[in-house]
Amino acid sequence: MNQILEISGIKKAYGPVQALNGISFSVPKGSVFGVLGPNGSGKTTLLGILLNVLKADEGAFEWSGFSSAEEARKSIGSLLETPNFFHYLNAVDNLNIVAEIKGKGRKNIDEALKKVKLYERRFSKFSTFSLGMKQRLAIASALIADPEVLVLDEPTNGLDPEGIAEIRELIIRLNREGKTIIMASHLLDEVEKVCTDVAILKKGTLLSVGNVAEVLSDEELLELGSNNMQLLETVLKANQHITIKSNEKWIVVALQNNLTPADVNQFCFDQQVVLTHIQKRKRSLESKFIEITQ
Amino acid sequence: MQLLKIEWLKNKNYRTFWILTGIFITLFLLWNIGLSKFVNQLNSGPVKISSESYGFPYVWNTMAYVYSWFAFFLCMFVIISMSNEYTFKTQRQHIIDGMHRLDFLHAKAYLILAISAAATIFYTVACLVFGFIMGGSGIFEQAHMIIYVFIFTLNYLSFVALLTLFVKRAGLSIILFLAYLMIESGLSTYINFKSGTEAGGFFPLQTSDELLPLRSLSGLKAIVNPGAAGASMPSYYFLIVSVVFIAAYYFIARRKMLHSDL
Repeated sequence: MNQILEISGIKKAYGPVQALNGISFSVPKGSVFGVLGPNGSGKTTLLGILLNVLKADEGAFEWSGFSSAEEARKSIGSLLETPNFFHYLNAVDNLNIVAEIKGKGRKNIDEALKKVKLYERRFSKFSTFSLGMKQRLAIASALIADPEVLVLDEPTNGLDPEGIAEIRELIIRLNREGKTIIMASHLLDEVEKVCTDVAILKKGTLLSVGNVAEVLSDEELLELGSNNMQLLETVLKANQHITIKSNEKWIVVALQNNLTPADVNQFCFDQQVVLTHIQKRKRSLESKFIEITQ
Repeated sequence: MQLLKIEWLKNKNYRTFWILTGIFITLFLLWNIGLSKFVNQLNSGPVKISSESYGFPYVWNTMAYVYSWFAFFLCMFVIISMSNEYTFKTQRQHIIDGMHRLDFLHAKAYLILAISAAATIFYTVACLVFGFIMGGSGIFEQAHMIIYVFIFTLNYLSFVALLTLFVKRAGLSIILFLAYLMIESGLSTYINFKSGTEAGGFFPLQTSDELLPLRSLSGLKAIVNPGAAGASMPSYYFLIVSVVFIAAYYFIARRKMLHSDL
């Protein structure tokens, strides 16, 4: 697969603190690439280096298909940490400056403002915006160059649930249009919902990288209950395709061999056990995440 | 030009920019009008001590001296313009958006050049207007002051821009700037006094101050101590040193921009 970004051996220290410890991976073109890690794991530092606001101590990176780092950045829409705009200017004035820097003209500004639902407030000063509106303006700013690549740091930070859902939809839509999206997040759930690939960072070290399904493979679990829990347990133990994971309020089992909940229900019924409770449960991603990062 | 346009987009709707520009223009004009009226009044008496102040060619020197005071408002604007970029983190954002690190510096350099040029033109026009009203002859005899005013402005604005590049905050930059001015001026006077030379005039800002002296004051000096005035250093020494300092600020700022985290 085509790579849009190659990172090799990036190191960065802030005084005695090693923020990044030799990070290497590549980002496939057309992916939604999540950089996942707890707070302080080096996500923002890494993105800062890729966008040339921070200098790496060692290592290198290359955006493929661009003649220079500046050209690459002009074609990248990015949102790093906080939205940075002139407080005394309105939304349009601020975006005019960005358009001028990117050399892309102003034709996309209105459309970008509409996309993030700020068009009505386009002549309001930035200082009057709420946190969510500021974040949305930053996303609009990332869109005005019609970028090939979007680099988003915690894009749903500060947004209400509706805003979060909108941004997720927007990301997925942009990805369908062929854009590559690199996104840092500490929210697993977010990464799982929108990303195709993921790199997991912890304390500046790359723990794992690859396809989301592989890295965060989550087995499907089933909660089962019956009036006779002991009998249910005995019956379930007898089936080699069913593994009992825990037995507290419900018996939680993992299914192998493409067994479906219907098969389990049928199997129990055949063994004279009537299920009173049957519910799918995804293995908690948090526990998986903690397992990886610990 | 594109960089200057970006700076224009930042400032054209910025009230502070217009207020400071307005204050600079208004105070400069009012002060000169008041002073010239005062000079006229003196002239109506028996002693015509200041008859030359606002007539050609002396108007160039007099107004340059007044200018050197009000240029402070231009410095304030450059400090604010520079520190805004850090307060709002827009300089960081510009780099993220694809601006070359040096282009950020050059945009500010062009802004400073543009302000210096505009202020110099304003000074020139004001001198011509005052001069024609007050009369005199030899219109362009002291017109080299135009270049001095330009270099003076460039030196001061570049100095405060570099200061703010390191300090990053407007309030602190203004305080440090004022404190530095006082220290420098004190040191300069002390060195001149101790050494009996004008070596103290070569401090970064003092060297440009020397370009715009109060002429009547140097006249006074000549009366009090004719020998010293005759030995005074030619102005182009100070001009050259000013230019050297301006270049030095640029290279320091360039180094800082290229190598630091933003």
